[in-house]
Amino acid sequence: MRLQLSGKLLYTLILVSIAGIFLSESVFTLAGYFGLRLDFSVVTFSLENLRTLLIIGLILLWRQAAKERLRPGELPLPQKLWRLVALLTANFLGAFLLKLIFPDFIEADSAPAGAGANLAYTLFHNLAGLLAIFTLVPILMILRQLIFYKQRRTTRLYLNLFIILLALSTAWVHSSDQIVNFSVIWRGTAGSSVYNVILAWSLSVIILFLSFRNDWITYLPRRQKFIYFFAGIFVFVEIITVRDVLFNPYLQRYSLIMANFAEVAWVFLILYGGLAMITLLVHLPTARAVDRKLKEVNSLYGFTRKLNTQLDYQKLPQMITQLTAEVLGSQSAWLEMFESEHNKLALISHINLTQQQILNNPLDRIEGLNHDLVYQKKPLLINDMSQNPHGQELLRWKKDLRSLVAAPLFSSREQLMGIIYASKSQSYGFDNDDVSLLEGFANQSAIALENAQLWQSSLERERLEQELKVAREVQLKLLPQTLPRIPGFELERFFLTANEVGGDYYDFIEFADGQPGVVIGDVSGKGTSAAFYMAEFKGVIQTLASALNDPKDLVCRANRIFYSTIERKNFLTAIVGKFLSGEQTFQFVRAGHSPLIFYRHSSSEIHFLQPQGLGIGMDPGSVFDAVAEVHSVQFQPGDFLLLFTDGLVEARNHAGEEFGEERVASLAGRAGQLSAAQIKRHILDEVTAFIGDTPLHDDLTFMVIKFRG
Amino acid sequence: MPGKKPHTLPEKKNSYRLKLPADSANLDIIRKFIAGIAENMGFSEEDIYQIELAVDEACANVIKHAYIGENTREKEIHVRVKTRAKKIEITIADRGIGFNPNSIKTPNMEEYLKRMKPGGLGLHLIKTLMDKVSFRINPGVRNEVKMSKSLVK
Amino acid sequence: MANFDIERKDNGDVTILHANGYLDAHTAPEFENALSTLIQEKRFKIVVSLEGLQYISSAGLGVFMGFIEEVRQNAGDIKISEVSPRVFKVFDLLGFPSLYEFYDSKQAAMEKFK
Repeated sequence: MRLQLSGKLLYTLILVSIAGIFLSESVFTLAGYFGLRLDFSVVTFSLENLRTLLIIGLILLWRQAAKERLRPGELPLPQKLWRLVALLTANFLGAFLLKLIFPDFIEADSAPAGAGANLAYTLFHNLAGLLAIFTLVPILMILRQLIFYKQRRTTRLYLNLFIILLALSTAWVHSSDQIVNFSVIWRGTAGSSVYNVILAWSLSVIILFLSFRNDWITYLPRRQKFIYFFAGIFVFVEIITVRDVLFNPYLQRYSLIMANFAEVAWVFLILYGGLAMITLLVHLPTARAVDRKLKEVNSLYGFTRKLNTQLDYQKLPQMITQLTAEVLGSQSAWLEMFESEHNKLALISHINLTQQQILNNPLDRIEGLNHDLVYQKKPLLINDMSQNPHGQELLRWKKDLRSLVAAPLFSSREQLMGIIYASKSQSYGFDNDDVSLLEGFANQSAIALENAQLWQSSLERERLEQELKVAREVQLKLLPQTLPRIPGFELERFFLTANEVGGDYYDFIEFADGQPGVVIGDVSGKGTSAAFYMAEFKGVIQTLASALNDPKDLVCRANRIFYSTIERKNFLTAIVGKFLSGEQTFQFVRAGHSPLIFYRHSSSEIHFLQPQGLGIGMDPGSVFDAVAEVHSVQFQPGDFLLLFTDGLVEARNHAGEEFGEERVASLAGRAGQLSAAQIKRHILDEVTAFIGDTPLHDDLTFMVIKFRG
Repeated sequence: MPGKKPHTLPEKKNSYRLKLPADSANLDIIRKFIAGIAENMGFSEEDIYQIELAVDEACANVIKHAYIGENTREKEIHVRVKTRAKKIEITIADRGIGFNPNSIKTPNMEEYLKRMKPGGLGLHLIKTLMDKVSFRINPGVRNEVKMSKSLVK
Repeated sequence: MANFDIERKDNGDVTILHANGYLDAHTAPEFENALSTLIQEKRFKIVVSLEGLQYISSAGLGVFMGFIEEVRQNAGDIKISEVSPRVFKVFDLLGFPSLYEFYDSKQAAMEKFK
């Protein structure tokens, strides 16, 4: 029955129906009162039918209104039950009130004489009838909600059957002028009509079926089961009384259909209520277990949900111990993570452990108590320290330790991740439910930790990539964009970054005396630090150059500065050279860098120039200073110098062969007649041809200094 | 991550450091270092220019004033840059004599002209160009100027 | 190094200085030298073209302020031309437009001296 009526119209219709019912009944009285004569037989018949229709209509209208107004479907279970009790009580008290106000009419079979008394009689019956409608309809609706608490496939079928039977019984009541008498069930069928018997039995059976649908009881917390059971006793008494003491006599006189509806509703209430009470009673002994299971499911759910919101690997362990301690109601909890490189467990988060206890943790190895946890993947439960072989040791460690549970954490690839422990200061503090709960927690924690680790490492990777990008950009920005002009010389340089950022660096500087110089260098290692060391190196060289005149002095001072700041595993190699004024002399110091190639034009000779020198940042100073050697090159027209980094010599082809110093040298030998720019071109062509498609694994840098004369 | 969006994502944080001799020649390196980072974060050219300028001013202050009459060995300037998703935070630190940030007032240009004494403009610029500027002065140990700017897209 | 340079062009009694590159605390002395040379030569009508200037910090601005009074006392001026919007913003932040004249071209600046 789906009536889509607006609220206002609905209530108007309800009021109209009530008025109609009332009028249809009192029309004779009123007519007589006003001295009118009516054709009894015709009017009575149609009035009776009209009233019946109005009553059925009112029931349907009220059902719709109650559905919209009370919304029983949206209420939580306890509220549904309270509403049910409230409605029953309203019914009970209402009927009681009526009895107090109209005491004379309760037992009277027919209206007393006199218009006033007659009207009062009618009023009483109508009020009683309306009371029944207004309370019983929502009561049945709430029962329906309870039945649907956990819906099964047949539930709806039964309910539809029930409604059909109710409709059938209504029709039968209307035609036979008697209500369905359920007493045939216990008194026997003698003397009753066949229809009555069939209806009474089928209704009872279907109601009984529906009454078994009380799964909501199973899921009640223990405390509520007790409360509902004892409250239920009174409610049940109320149900019985309502029918026998109050309703039965006069509702039938009001309307048989109404009375029948009330009767069926009452049977429903009795059966449903009775079965609910029995179910409650049966569940009381097991309530505790159900309670635990429920708590377990809930806390595991809450646990998982909370853990999943935390992806920060740093914060997760604390959260795990916190939640574990809370849910198990334990005074202390701690999480140990397995460190495979030390084959030890490290305590990484805890609740209520002292610093002393953390340091002296006896459970940091996979032996003793931890052995079975790890190798059999079984949780641990100690409820009596005196019975356990490790009890004494544990008590020495933590005086108030009386019971202990623990469960291992395994990754999705079955790798041991760690162990979670919880302890209480009383013996027998944990039961088997706690153990399985902790096991569940451990599984969820392992998943959460693994997720966080994955997330963290992807974040870390992204962070490093970002850093590399920045480093490369800074490196490129810091390399000089323009070439200096040095009279008599041609300068060319080439620089190419590898996929990974290397630490290659070249620069043109100016010494304190205004003489130009060049720097080529390579920071050991790759990546971010290399690129930023290069920036620092550039700054140091630049600063020193502006104050010094001697390249050796500069390199030695740079070494001292760098030794104090650079990480021990890093160092850098460089060549710092200076063009001396007036002469065609190039003075340089080699700090561990690849040798220089010098081409003497007059003799077409190739020289590898490799004066002594340590890498920068390897020695605090004295050895470096003692070893460093200044070398001078006297240029003649046509001579040229080739400065380069490892990248050139170590450039590899697809076969993994290196370009090599020999190739570089022979290349230089063939380039005698060329200009600096042509030499650069030539070298580049050769290297590119050699490496082919093989990607560079290191920066490639070189510089050509040619003396024209 | 599959599933619901987590509430507490660890923020992606990067940190870059540069330590250079306190020499004006190195201002260029510092600016390029800063620009390289800011560019990567997606700051507009205009913003990068402003950040560069603010850092330049802070460093120039250090170079000019922090190490007067001290021995050269310790004359260093530390630049640390922290980047968050939408914010760049730069700290310029030195071990020099420090200064009282409150004693430096926003310059009045007319007065400046009369006094013909340039200087003090730097701090004003930093405060104007950056979102937040703070100081921690501990002479001889560590003086810090911390400034930050948020990325508005 | 070599990220700032200054070119001088004398045009009658007006001198045009072309400042190129980055003008910061490191390069400001170069600019300062150029200006003080002009003062020594008693050339007080100065146009500074910043067409090629990519960057200026307060140290650079300070140079302008260091000379303006002396120049104006000698019936001269320092006029600035062809500033890029970026660099102008720095001038603007410190209120320079109320103290200095800015022009879109060297010619316009030179006209003003006549």
